[in-house]
Amino acid sequence: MEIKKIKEEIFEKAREVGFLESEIYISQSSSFKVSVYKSEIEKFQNSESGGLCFRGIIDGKMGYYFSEQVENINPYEIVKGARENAILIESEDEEEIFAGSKEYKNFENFDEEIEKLSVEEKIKMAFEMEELVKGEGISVNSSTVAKGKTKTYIFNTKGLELEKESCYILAYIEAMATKGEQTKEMGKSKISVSLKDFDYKKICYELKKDLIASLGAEPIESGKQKVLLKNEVFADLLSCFVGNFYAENVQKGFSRLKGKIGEKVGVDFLTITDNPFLKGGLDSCNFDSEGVATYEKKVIEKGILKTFLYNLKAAKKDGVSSTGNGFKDSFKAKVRTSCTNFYVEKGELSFESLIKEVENGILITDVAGLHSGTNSISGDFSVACEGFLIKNGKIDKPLNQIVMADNFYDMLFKIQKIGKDLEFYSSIASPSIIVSNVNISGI
Amino acid sequence: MIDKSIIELVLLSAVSNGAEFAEVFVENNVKNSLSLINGKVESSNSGVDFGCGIRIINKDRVVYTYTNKVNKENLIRLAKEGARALKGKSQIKNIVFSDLDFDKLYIPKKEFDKRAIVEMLRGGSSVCYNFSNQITQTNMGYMDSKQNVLIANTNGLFAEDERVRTRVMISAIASNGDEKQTGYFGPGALKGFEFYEEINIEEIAKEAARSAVTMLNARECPSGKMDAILDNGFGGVIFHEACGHGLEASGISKNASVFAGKIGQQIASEKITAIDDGTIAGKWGSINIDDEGERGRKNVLIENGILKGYLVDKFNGSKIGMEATGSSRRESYKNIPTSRMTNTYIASGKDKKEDIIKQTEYGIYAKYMGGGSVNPASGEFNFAVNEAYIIRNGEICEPVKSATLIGKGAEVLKNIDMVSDNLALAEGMCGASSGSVPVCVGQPMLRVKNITVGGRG
Repeated sequence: MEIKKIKEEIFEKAREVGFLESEIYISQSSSFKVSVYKSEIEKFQNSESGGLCFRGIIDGKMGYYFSEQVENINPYEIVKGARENAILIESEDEEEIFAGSKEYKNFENFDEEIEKLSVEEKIKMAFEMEELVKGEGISVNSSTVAKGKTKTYIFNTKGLELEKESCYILAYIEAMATKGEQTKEMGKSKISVSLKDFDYKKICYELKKDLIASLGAEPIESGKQKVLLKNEVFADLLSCFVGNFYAENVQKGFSRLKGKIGEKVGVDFLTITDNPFLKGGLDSCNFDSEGVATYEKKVIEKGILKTFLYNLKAAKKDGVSSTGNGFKDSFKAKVRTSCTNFYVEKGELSFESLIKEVENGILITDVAGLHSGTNSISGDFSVACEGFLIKNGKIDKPLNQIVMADNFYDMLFKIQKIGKDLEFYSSIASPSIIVSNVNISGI
Repeated sequence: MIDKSIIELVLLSAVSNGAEFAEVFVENNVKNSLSLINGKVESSNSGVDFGCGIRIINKDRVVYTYTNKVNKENLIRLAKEGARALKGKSQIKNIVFSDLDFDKLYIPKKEFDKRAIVEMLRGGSSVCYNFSNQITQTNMGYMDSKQNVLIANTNGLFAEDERVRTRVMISAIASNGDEKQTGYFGPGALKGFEFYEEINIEEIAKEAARSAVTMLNARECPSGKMDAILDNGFGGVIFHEACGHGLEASGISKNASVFAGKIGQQIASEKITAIDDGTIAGKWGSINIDDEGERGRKNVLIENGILKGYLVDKFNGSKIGMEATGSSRRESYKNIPTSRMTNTYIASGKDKKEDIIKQTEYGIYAKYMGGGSVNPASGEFNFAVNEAYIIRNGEICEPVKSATLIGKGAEVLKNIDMVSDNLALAEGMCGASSGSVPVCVGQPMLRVKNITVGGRG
């Protein structure tokens, strides 16, 4: 695709059909993946994909159209499609094609070392992972190493031209063990944007240890418990409710945080940050999908709600500036809102100290059914989980077949301690956290 | 979409290092979507997904490559690159294609009309607001897609199919102060725009509003083990999670399912007969042919509690020595196809709905269910209940909210002790290794003894 040539053609056609301003967003990705099973390569994948998304303003409304047919781009079809979509819009919110920020902070998040890694080296890693986990009654269902890179371009009729490139490397391993009648399957993954942070062996040791420890799990009696939510579990919960911090959801009445800026929304030692310049961060970037420069901000500081996350449209509506959080889910999608690297700031206690602190309660190590068991609007959730009993300050027997039910907003006030084990399994992260008085259903 | 002679060259390149099998999957998918918030069109999007996936199989190894740069040179280059992951000499010298003959289950009648659907959804939104002043927001969505596929392989298969689907998503949100509850329905079909002459969006919207208001005024659901009555339609999510995923050959071939090796055995209560039927005309989860070119079919999975069969794709089928069942599906050309469900349901039994309620002393009655998930190896599943009531002394009593039901597939199937005769299906999206595919779940009203209910009350 000759971008420069095609973009002028599309912009011209857009003007012809009545678009005042327009934008072309282009994404080009490639990926590789190898999975091994029983010491043989099972799956080997290679791909290239991408396409373009056009959007433009006509009569104050923004119309979109996307295409993956990059071999055969028809500018007229694209702008005609976008025009039909624009005409349907009834929302009166003001739309904008952005001329650019004054300054974009210099930031590189592309590790050439990942690109240089040969196919053979990646295959070797996948075999290594399988070897590390199997044995002692454990069979490995699949061991996968993948990498990918994406290049993104934004061009618009206000003269903005931006591009960025990102890449990642990922390890994923899934294994199974059986004890008596009980079979337990568990998976762990590690994704990194820099090769030196890519500790794929660590997840193998953890998987083996956790899988063996979880065998023989059983439910406990229902009741209220003090729970220690492992770092990745609290991060999973946070990711279900992060949309409540997005201004566009607040404005539409889909968030209970409406009108609460400056108010206390959690315990006074809770701070949540959105940091697009986190070193090694999976979602680090210096501009968003609208071309707005990004910056670091505290969303909750010492329990006080400081700001919502804004894209251009929502910012205009509230009479503020965009926080650089206008992102698309994929190149095809409409610009909405997204956090970047979004995390609970760490406290002082180690994981071991947290266990001691709980004394008697439950450690939750995994949750299932978050997509269905959470009500993002009310904050209610009821999710299947597993973990361990904590007895006299020590980890005791494994638990499964229990349900944890609570409310996210209430929980922010019931936090008792925040650990220091902040770890990024995805771009939304947290340290382990103790929460009191949580409903657990078992037998 | 692509000339047969090019496809032949691509396939021959793909097996040039001795693979047993290669397949090409070309897709052109024209998509439309829109959303209305509080009765106003908030967004409208459309476009085309387009690309080609090449799958090469040799014994237990699968090589997959895809691209959206669909031209002869690039496809041959990718096929050859893929072939390099294998070692050997080509066994296949030429391919004689024969066009697959299959019946179209349903011929779409009307073109999609975004303007008309906007009117209907706006009407639905008004109905919600008029239902109660506790309704504070509505959120409506619409999608349609026309997916054209070409599937060809080295066995000479050559098939082209068109899948036309559409769906609406209707949510009503009820609120009083800080508390908010949602009522939701998402009807869809493998049909054209005529689908909207068959359903009544206003009635569905009203029911969503009623459900939201009911839940707003409900108390917290109790927790612990109790009997649960699951109503028909989306209640079938319990079978989908507790058993359906566990019958997929992808898990069976790795022994990663509690149902592996159990064909012919009693795995469920005698009252359970379960079917996966991809051939229901116009149904959301139906398929003319699957995504490796097998005709869709009706598969009996469990008959009177006895396990009869699995959902089998060709690759995993060859590992476990079973014939493909027309169950191989993928979201798009970006996914390797594997065994998946279509329209999966528990067949009608002989119990009467009224008797099931009357004969339950204490428990919960789940009128509407949400989504769920399962770990097929252990069979541990969960699913959300969207609208529920307490049953006391054989009567449906007060509503309760925010509950999740959990259990183990192998146990729960044996604990279903009553099955009524009012089978209904409901639409959903199912996510797994080959992406998100449209499916139906279904069942008549049934009762599960002693299942774990997770609420906050």
